[in-house]
Order: sequence, then C-alpha cells, then structure tokens
Amino acid sequence: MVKDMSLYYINKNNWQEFIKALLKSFTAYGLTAQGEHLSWKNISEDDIPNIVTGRYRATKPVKGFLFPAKEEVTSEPDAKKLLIIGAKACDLCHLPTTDAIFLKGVVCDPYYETKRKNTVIISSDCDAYRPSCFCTLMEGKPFPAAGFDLNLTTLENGYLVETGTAAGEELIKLQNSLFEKPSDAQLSAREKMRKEMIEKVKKNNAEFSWENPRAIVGATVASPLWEEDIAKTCVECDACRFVCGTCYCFLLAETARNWEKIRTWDSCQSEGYGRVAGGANPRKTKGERLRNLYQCKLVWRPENFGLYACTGCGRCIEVCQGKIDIRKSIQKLGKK
Amino acid sequence: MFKSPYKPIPARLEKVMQETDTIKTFVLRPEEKFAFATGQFIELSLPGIGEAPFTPSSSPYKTETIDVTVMRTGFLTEKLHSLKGGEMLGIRGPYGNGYPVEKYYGKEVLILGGGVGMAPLRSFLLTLLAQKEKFKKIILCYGTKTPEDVVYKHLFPEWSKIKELEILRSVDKCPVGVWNETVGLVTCLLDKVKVNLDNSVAIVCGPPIMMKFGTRKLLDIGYKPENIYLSMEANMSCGLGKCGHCQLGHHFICKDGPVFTWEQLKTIPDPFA
Repeated sequence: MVKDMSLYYINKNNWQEFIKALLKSFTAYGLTAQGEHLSWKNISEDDIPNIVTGRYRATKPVKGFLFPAKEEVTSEPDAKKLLIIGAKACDLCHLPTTDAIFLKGVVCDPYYETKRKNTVIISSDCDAYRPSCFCTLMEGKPFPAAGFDLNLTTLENGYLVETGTAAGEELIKLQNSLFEKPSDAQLSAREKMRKEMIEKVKKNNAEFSWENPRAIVGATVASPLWEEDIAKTCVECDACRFVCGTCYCFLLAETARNWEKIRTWDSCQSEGYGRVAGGANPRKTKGERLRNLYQCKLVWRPENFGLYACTGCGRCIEVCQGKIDIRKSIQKLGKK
Repeated sequence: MFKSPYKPIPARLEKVMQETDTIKTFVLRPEEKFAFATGQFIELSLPGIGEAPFTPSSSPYKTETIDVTVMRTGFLTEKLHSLKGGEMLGIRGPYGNGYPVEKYYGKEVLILGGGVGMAPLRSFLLTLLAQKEKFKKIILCYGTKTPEDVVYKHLFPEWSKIKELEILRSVDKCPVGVWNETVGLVTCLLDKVKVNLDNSVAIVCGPPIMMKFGTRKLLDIGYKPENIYLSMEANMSCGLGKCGHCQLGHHFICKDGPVFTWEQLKTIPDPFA
C-alpha cells in the first residue's frame, strides 16, 4: 500500500467485507431501492449485497440523521456511532447550512453536535439522475467535492474510494489489505463518467437559462408573480420543507413530563409559523410565505454564510402536490 | 454535568400585580443566579404548557427577582394570568443584545412607548435613572388607548417628581374630564418635545402599528436612521438563533436583536408587518 494516498480501489467482494467489519462498530444506514425511489435502511450484514451505492439521491436527505424530525432536547444527548452509506453530492452540500446554524452562533447545539461528531459518511458519485435534479444550476456537480469521509465511484467490478478526512483514512488503514492502488485506466474512467454525468444533468435542465438566483430573487421581492402565479397552486402541505436538506427550523414544545422539552421540524409554509399571540402574522399569504422561503434559501443564507441553502437536489419539486418547481419559478421571475 | 441550552431554570412566581384589565406584572424569583442587561429577553415557561419570550420590566440592577409584564392575548398568557403566585415556572436566557446604554452617555434620550410596550421601556428607564447624571436629558413619551390602559400607574407620580425626567403622555380617546394630559395618538407628543437632533437617540417600543408610525414621525422630525432604536420582538422561540421563527430578512431577531436601529432595518420590506 502506498501511504498518504487519497484514492484507492476496492473490488466488490472486498467492499462487502469492508462494510461487514464496519457494522461491528457502527449503526449503519444504506440505500435500498423501491422502484425508482431510494430510501434509507438500517442495514444488517444480509443487506450489504443489496445496498445501492450509485444512482441518485434518496427520497430523504441526510439531515434527518443529525437533526431528527422529533427529538427530546433537555437530557444528555445519545452518542451513537453512525455510518451513512450512499449520500450524494447535493446531500453533502446541505450540511454546511445546518452546521452553520447548529454548531456555530450563540451556542453550539449539543444534540446536533453529538450526532455530527459520531457520524461517518461514505458518499458516492451519481451515475444517474432524477428529472428534478438541478445541482448544476446551483453551482454544484453530481459528484462530491468535500464533506465526505469516504467517497465511492462505482466502476464495473468495484469502486474507486477517495478519502476526504482523517477519519475516513483511518477506516481504510484498519482494513488496509482490502484496498489496492487504482490503475490509470480506473482513474480516467472516473473522470470520463463524471464529465458525462455533468452533461446529463445540464441536459436535464436545458430549458432553464437562469444564472445567479440570488440576484433574481433579490430583485423581485415586490413582484405580483409570487401571489398570482408562483404560490398559487400551493396546498400548504409543508412536504417541500420536510424533504429539504437545509431547512433547520424547529418548534420547541413542552412534554407532559415537567421540564422536558422536545423539538420537531417546523415549516415556514404553514400559516401559523410566524404568527404571534394576539393573531398578528408577518406572512399571511401563500405568496408572502413562498417568497420568504426563496429569499431564505437564495438571498439571506448567502448573506449570512456565503452559500446557497439550496443545492439543487430537487426533492421539493418531486413532492409538491401543486407542481411548484423552483427552477420554473426562478425562470419566471428572471424574465424581464 | 450536562446542561441543555433548552432547559429552563426554576423560578418561583412570587407575586402577581394587576396593571390593567388585560395586563399583569409577574414577579419571579429564580432559584439560580440570573442576570440580564436591559432590553435582553427571557423565555418564560409554564412546565407542560408552553414557553414564550418576554423582556423583563424590572431594573437589571435588581437581581434577586425579575418582573415581567404580560398582556393576556393568547394561549400561554391566558394560563399565566390565571396563576395566583407560589407556582414554579421556568426561565431561560437572557437572550439577545439589549440596549447599548453606554452608547447613549452624554446624549438626550427620547423614549417612545405604546401600551404594554412600556414593559421593556420601564427596565430601560430604570437603568437610565440609576445613572441619570450620564445623560443630557431623558424624555418619556407614552401613549395608550385609554387612561385605564396605562401600565405602572403607581409609578408615574413617583417618576414625575424626578427633575431630570420629562414625561409626556397621551391617550387615543377618553371621556371628558378624566384625563388632563394629551388626547391623540402617541406620535403627536413628538411635536411637543424639544430635542437637539445632533445629540439625541430615540428608543421605541410598542405595538407594530405604533412602531411603524413612530419611526416615520421620528424620521420626519429629523432623527437619523442610526439614532432610532427599535425593539423588534417577534415570536422568538429557541432564543439562540437556531429555530428560525423570529427571522426578519437575514437577521435572527433573538440573537442579532431584539434591539435594532432603523438603519439596520430600512431595506427590509415592511418590517413591522
């Protein structure tokens, strides 16, 4: 083995051995296919041959592993070691937003922090896309550049494995004999696949000509389109918020047990989100709420954190009962 | 020992004072040491029922007990108003920036308050009065709907004796003979005050509509946007800049505020909505 290498090759049999060994020290989640949809499954040894490593993103983002939909937030957090296999580039790009909110600021949130510190992420390149995928419109690519411990590129009989952190490197060292030095042919196969995949996602979004969504949304705050068109078909189901990988809003609530609090995901698209006691509401209409959402993701988070809180995963498009497509919305707003 | 930032500390409700038909002041005695700067807020919880943000109305120099003045207007405040005293409540905080009192040293301070908005302003006023020699002038303009709606009725006679403090009050309406001060919206009091605009700051707190027109009037008079300080309390929940509820543009009111200058807010569409 060559030391300090950041790229390795592992064949499919050895990959299964590798994961099998990791299951001894981690609670692991991998992707399983149900038709065209991929979902997260708590995997056991028997599942290893069937977990999906490539393809595209799961129906749910990675966020939920670190910031669950419902969580008790008064007792000591549970430090369970978690392994996530199959996260995609768009999923990893969500995490800088939730990290900035929960790890930084006034205090570090101990619940998120504990999970984040104890989670190892093995991501993978996309080798297919969903019709709603648009990472390339959001300055992203369909393969991870950062944010993973290990990243996989699926080749014919095995994987190219790239290390992203010391923790990832350590996992490889522990089972060093399973890995090989990649061949030049394997490396160039990765390059070729990646280039092709970018082109495929771009082609998927060929009808959209917009660039700089921050400027477009920032300049159209007063547009009548929000009310008259963009938010018109919203049925206020909140599904788009609950599949979003960067949404961090939560509701703190008391439980029946004295002094215990829980938090649950909350949605800025519901009418009561901004309402205060006495009934005043800063965002009464669907148009105001959807505009607020787009501003949050595309204007204010860039202002606060220097990044878009939208990575083009397209989940909000896929779940929308009202067929609201953020790509189309921006296209409409951008038209003079 | 692990301590969650979301877990309140116990505070006993020591006393309840009726201010108006719908407003009461609650005196809380925290079981742990608890200090705040004037203008910072706390999250007050009724265990098992809910939690809401309030800005203490007592002086920050008084540390054993904290007063919060609350209008009965929703689910939690209804429950709070039904308490008699002796109950154990929870408090978290303090949160937010509070008033930058030191910045006001050597200046004229104009306080513009409406209704129950007098609550945080009482704490602020008490902070100023504790060091009144440091300010050029202190003016309080306070408006309510009717004379009955005035909070801290028992304190005004005391305050009116303080020669460094000028008090102007207004009511929107009242029957003839019950009110010998100004009748009209609180903004009309601003026509009566004499200030040196180059050396004056205005501190505003009240219902959103009053904040909106108060700000407009102050700008008309000639106050600079950076000299108008607004208490932008919204539905702050976590208090830590995380849960998102109080976001106003790119600001998180709970951590970047609740006190903002108009300069910070003027580009946000309809911040008083």
